[in-house]
Formats: sequence, C-alpha cells, structure tokens
Amino acid sequence: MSREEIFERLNLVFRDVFDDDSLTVGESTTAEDIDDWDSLHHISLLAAIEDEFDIEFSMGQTVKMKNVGEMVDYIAGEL
Amino acid sequence: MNITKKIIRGCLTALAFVILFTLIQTVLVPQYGSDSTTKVEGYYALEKNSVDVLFVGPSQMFCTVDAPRLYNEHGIHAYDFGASDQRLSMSYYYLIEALKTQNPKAVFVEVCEIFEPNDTIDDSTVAWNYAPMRASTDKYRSLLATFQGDKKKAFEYSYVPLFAYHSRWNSLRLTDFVYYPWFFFVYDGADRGFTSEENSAPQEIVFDKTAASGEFLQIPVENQEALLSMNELCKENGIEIVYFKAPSADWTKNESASAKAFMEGNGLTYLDMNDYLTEIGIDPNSDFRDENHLNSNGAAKSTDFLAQFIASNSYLR
Amino acid sequence: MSITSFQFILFVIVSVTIYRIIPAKLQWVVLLIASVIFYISFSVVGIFVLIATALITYYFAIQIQNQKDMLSSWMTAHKALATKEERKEKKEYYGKKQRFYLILAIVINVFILFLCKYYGKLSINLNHTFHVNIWTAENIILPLGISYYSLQLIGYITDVQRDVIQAERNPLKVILYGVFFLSIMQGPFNRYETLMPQICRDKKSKLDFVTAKKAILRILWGYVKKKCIADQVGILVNEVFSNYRNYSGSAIILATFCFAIQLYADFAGYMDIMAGIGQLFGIEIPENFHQPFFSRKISEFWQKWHISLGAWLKGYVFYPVLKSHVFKDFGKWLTQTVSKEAGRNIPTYVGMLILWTLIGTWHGAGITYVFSVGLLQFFYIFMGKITAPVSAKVKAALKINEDSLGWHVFQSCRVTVLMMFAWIFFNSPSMKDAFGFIGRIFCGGINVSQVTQIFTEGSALAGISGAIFMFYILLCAVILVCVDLIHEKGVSIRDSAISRGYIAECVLFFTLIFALIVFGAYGSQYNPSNFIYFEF
Repeated sequence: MSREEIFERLNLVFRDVFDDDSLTVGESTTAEDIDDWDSLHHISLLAAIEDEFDIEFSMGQTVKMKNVGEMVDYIAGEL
Repeated sequence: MNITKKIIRGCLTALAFVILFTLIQTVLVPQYGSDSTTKVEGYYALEKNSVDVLFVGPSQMFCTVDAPRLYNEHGIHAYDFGASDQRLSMSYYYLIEALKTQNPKAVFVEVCEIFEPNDTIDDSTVAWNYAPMRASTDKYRSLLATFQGDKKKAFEYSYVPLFAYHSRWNSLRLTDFVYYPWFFFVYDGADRGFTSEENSAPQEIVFDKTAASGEFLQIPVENQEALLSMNELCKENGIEIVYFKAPSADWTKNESASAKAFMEGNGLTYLDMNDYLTEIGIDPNSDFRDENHLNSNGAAKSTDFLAQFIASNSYLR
Repeated sequence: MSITSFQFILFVIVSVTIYRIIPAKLQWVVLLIASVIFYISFSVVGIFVLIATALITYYFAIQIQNQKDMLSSWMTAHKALATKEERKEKKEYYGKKQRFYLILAIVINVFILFLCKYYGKLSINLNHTFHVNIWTAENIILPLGISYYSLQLIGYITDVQRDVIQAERNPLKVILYGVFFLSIMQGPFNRYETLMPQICRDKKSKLDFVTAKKAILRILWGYVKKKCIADQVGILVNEVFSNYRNYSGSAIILATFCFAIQLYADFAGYMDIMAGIGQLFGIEIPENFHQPFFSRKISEFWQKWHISLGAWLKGYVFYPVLKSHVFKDFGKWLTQTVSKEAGRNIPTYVGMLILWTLIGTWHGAGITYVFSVGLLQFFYIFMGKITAPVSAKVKAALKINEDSLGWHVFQSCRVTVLMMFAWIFFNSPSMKDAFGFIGRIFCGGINVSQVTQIFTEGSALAGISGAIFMFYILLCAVILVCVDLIHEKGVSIRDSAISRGYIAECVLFFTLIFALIVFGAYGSQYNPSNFIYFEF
C-alpha cells in the first residue's frame, strides 16, 4: 500500500471519528490542528485506525506519535 | 568590561543594596512617639556631659518626673531616659548606653517592675525598649538575656532589625514614613523625656490598703542581678544611684515591704514615694491619669519633692 | 530539611559546587548521595523502604530485559528457518514471561503504596462500619514521596517492557531514579528516558554565568510564591477553614478564593525552586504548570495543571486500560447492541471514570480527595461533553463569538470557580465539614456592605491590618495573573530582564529579594493569631 492510499483511508477514519466531512489530514497535522482531538478521542481514533488497517499499535507507539506523518510511518511499518 | 569596572560595578550594587535595605528598615522598624523613640532620640541629641541627674525606668518614671520642671524651677539638668514596660535588666542596658554620652552625678531608677519576671516580656515591650536604641554589642548582650540565649534572634534585633520587624508591613502608619529623626524631625530633646498628661482619670483612684502579710514576695533572680549590677556600675563611675518607687495606687504594702527588705539587705539607696504621699501632696482625685500613672499635676508635685530630696542629700555637690 | 530552611540552601550550594567540580562520570554519584542525605533528613526508615522497592523493581526489570534479549537472540539465530507461527509462538512465550515480571513488580509497588498510604484509613473505616477489629497498621508511617517514586518506578519498568528503554544494569542508578531529591517531595513525575541521560553523562555540561543567574532568579521567584504569597494567604485560609462556623458567607468566599491562590502559589512555587536548582545541575525537569487558569474547559485545565501527573496516568493507566481487550470487546459489544456512538463513547467514559477515581485516590486516602479531584472532575468533564450540543445551540442563538477575549475570560472564570468549589472539599477534613463550610455561604449571610467597608475604611495610612491584608491578597492574585499572562504570550521575564542589561537584572533581583525579606511569612514577630479577629 502506498502512502497516498494510507492517507486516503486515514482521512475517512478521521472524518468518521470527528464527525466532520471536510477534514483532511496531512504529514504534519497534529492534535492541536483538530478540535476535539484530545486524550479521549486519541484512543478512539487509534482504535478506529487499528480496526481499519487490521494492525495493532504498541503502547510505546501510542504515546510517542507526534503527528499524522509519524502515524502513517507506523502503519506502513506494520503492513 | 574589564575586571576593575566589574569590581566597581559590584561595589556600587552592594552599596545600593545596603542603602535600600536601610531605607526599608527605617520604615518598618517601629517608632513610638511618646513611649520611647523621642526619649531615646532626644537623649542622643543632648549636648555631651550636660545632664546632672539621670532618670531611668518604665512609664511610671517618665510620667512622674517632670524633667523640664526640674530645670525651670530647680535648676537641675535632668533627663527621663526610659521606655514603656521597661524591666530592670533593660534599665541596666539603658544605663550602660546612657553613660556613653553623659556623666550624671546621680541616677534614679524606678523599680515598679521589680517583681516581674523576664518571661512575661512580650513583643511590644521588646519593640518599645529596644527598637529606638542604636546597634551595639551592649544591645546584643541585653537582647540575648531578654531572649533567653537565642543568639539568632538577638543578632537580628540588634543589627538587622528589618528581619525582626518585617511583618509590620501590614500595620504601617503615616508616622512610620515621616516620623524619623534624620529626615524630617530634629529632636532637640526639649521635653527631656517627660510625658505630660493634663487630664485626670475618669474613674475613682483607690489606694490598695491591704496590710502587709509579713511574708516577703520573691524578687526574680534577673531583677536582683540587674539591681546589683546597676549599683556596681554607678559605684565604679563615682555616681550616686537611688532606686525609687513612683506614687501609684496599685503598689501594695506587701510589695513595698518586700522591696525595702531587699534594698536594705543589699545596702542599696531606696526611696518609696508611696510612703510620702502626704508630704508630696498627692490628691487621688486630681493627680492621676490612671491607677499607675500621675498626670501633670501629680508630676509637678512629685518633681518638687524629688528636687528637695536631691538637694537635701547633696547629690549635686 | 524543609526547603525553606537555611540548611537546605546550604545543602544546595554545597551539592552544586561538588557536582560541578567532580568529573562527569561521577556526577550521578553526587546526586545519589545528595538525594539520600536529603531523604534521610526526613525519614531514616523510609529510605530503606524506598531502596527495597527500587531494588525489587531493578531486579524484575533486568529479568524482563533478559527475556527480551533471549527472544532477540533466538530470532537472530532462527531468522531464516522459523515459520511465522513459530516466531509468533516464541514472541508470545517470552512476552508472557515479561508480562509476568512486569505485573509482579507493579503489584509489589502498588501493594507497598497501598499498605503505607491507604490501608490504615481503610481498615479504620471497616472496623467502624462493620464493628470488627482488624489490624489497622498504626505503626506504619507514610514514607516520604512514596506516591511519587512508586509510580516513577512503575513507569520505569513499564518502559523497559515496552522497549522504550533498556533495563538499567546498575542498581544504584535505579535507586537514584527513585530517590532523586528534586522530584521526591512533590514531583514532577519524570520519565527514565528523559531524566537519566541528563544525569549520567559522559561529557560535562558547563554552567555559564547567564544560566546560573536565570536559575537563581527562578528559584527566588519560587520562594516568593511560597513564602510571600502562599504562606501569607494560607493564614487566612487555615483560620477560616478551621473555624468556618464563626465566619459569614463573604469570608467563606474569600477563603475559597484564597485557597486557590495558596494551592497554586505553593505548588507552582515549589516547582520553580526545583526547576531552578535543576538548572544549576544542568538538568531539565518537566514543567508542571502552563498557566492553568486561562483554560477554557476543565479538561484543558487538567492538561495545564500538574501536567506530569496527567501525562503519567495517560501513558501508564488510561491508554493501557482503553486499549485492553476487555475494553475493546466491551466497545464492540456496545456497537452491536446499542449504536456506533455508544460503542465509541461509553468505553471512553468508563475509562475516564476509572482514571479520575484513580487521580482522586492518588491525591490522598479519603473520600474528600476521591471526590474533589476525582469524581467531581469526571462529572464536570462528562457534563461538559453531554451538554456540548445544547450549549452550541445556545451560543449560536446568543450570537456569542467563541474567539473573543470576553468569551475566553468568561470561560476562564468559569473554570476557576468550578475548581474553587472542588478545592473546598480538597481542603476540608471531611465531607461533612466541606458541606458545612459551603452552607455558611447561605446561612452565614453575605454582608456586602461589610466587605466594601473593609476596603474603603481601611487604608495603609490608617494602619488597619485587615484592610491592608485584603489589598495584599488582591495584589498577590493580580501579580500571579499578570505573570501568567506574560508567560502565556511566550515572554520570559527572567530572560528579558537579563537581556536588557545589568540594571534591569539588578532591579529584578532586588525586587525578589526585598519581597522575600519584607513580605515573607517568617520570623518570631509573625503572629498568626493576628488574624483571628477578622470581623466578617
């Protein structure tokens, strides 16, 4: 799977979790850029991403990832 | 910036700190107009060696002895050098300090506090008696005794009283900012330490007439030591020293007898003015401002009596 | 050794001096010795408990690391030959062992913490309620900092298990991590990977004059917050909270406000002192406060107040719980039986409830803590989320501009009031007292004219203590807000003073030093009973 494809599918997940169809994420998007992306939503977001890609983030990754770009790196690594 | 400049800059900074510290300290250390500050400042302002008779003691002293009258009416150069609630150990310190700038022929020490132990000394007494006095090792030693050996506290109160009185920031008055001898007032000591009160007490003054029980009251050790030390000091300097009790309504017969016994037992000169109330002419209805203190009427009469006493004993030959 | 004593200041000066002279490789030893000395000055017995706990954690971390090393050496050896199933099996096998050691270490740490901190009160309550007579552990004293070092050690071994760090081979360094004197008393929580590399270095860090000045300024500011602000308003707080039955509503409200000031100034002041000392050692410790009172929501407040606690709980409790299979399955079950939203939200809220209960419990053994900084906070956040759609409609209807300064101020005030209310319970010895305290607002009477009278009749020149003290409290609040405002803009007062030249520096130093000398709560002249006369 290419990075673009991952980003496409990620966008759908984000829009679903944050209930916002206009949302688009990029390499450097962080929690500060999206309203409601706080600790509570972070976990549900990650759970939704895990379901979408059928992967599992380790705890280390969960606390470490700083932006969507890193998230994509992890996803790509797991696939 | 080279080393010399840095050193100079450092010194100037240190100087600025000291000046600021002193200014703030000046404001925060308490000033007491009628209770002590003016008396002490007035004493320091006197011409050296100009006092013939020195009076030391608490408020009963400086309400009783009309020092200006002693000069105006009797030609005696006197000064009331005291502070409120002064204890005998503090009187000793005051005497030591006094002799640095004056050489009186006679010293009179009021002893109403003779039965008060030093552990009843509270913050106000410390402030009244010590705050206006200049820093010195004598002050330190006296404070050390007052604070029962607490060196840190004694050091603070003697040399850096800002640390001792800093909490006064929340009870400052106008007088704290302006009532300071260096800047705004020059104490010429015109009142000679005397505190005058025109009015008489509103309530009836009743003298304690309980007969003496026969058993003598204990004089606390620190007071005995102070009395003997002051006596020693005066003898060394060729000064006559007289312990006296000012007229007051709450001086009991017991107290009177006990004091006399101690004085006689130790060969100390003692004058109990309460024994001479009729000679002095004390009228309880018009001569007292409250139970323990005379007003200006009472003071005038007492002062005349003291002048006579001084003359008849030839203290001023 | 209280941090506001001369002994402590001397201790710091000596420690920093020795630290700076000693070669880099031995600097951590200096910190270890200093930390142990600091700890022993409070409790000798406690140090043994700490060392034992640290050594146990150290041992199990080594075991975990051994399991990992065995797994990776097996992997390298059988890389080509093993099948995917065999690899998975080996991973699980070693993984199980690692988890076993991890859980054992956590259980031991938590057990000791529970025994020392919570068992006593719990057993007393049980005895009381059920009329039994179980051992109440009266002789056990609470070791200093156990709430901090236990969790730090748990964090350490968890990080080893998560491959964030390698297990430390030197037991003394693990002990140092536990006993580190800059964090032992009130935090902040450190992460092993961020703290220890700063302490165990190969090359010496230089302490230049400018950094030293900044550090000392920070320390001074911390002391000013503690001694001039927190301890001073603390007098009013203690008096009113202890004798609330004698005070009217206005006094109660004032005391509640003052407690917020006291708590913030004390805690943040302590952090500044420790951070400054850390800077002198060349060690950066985590920040715990980011202008918390400017938060718009309670959830935001807790991201800016006691930040390191939140971060620790998030990383080591909240996420693991929510990511656990139990929760995931629960979520899936909800999605199927109720709705997708329920499946996503309800497990999160349950997780939050657990989290906040733990936060409350961590603060202290007692229902007042569990409630005030636990369940009540959960309630605030939960209600905030539930009413979000409704409040959005209301805001739209009232045409409120959410980006405006006015709205931000309103939100901040709201957050502050909510926290003030919660802190009433935090500062009361029991729930009953807390309710009694609050009740005084209604039965004690809010005598507004009395309050204004204090401000108009009293003045510095009339020398009325009560009025000046009121001004002082207000001044403290204003100063705290202003400094926070400046920090919010990203400006550092220390840095700008130093950059503006020598005189600006001196002004700042002098201001802080004289503030401490004059307004610090110290000395024999300092008589708390002066305030008992408050005639509210």
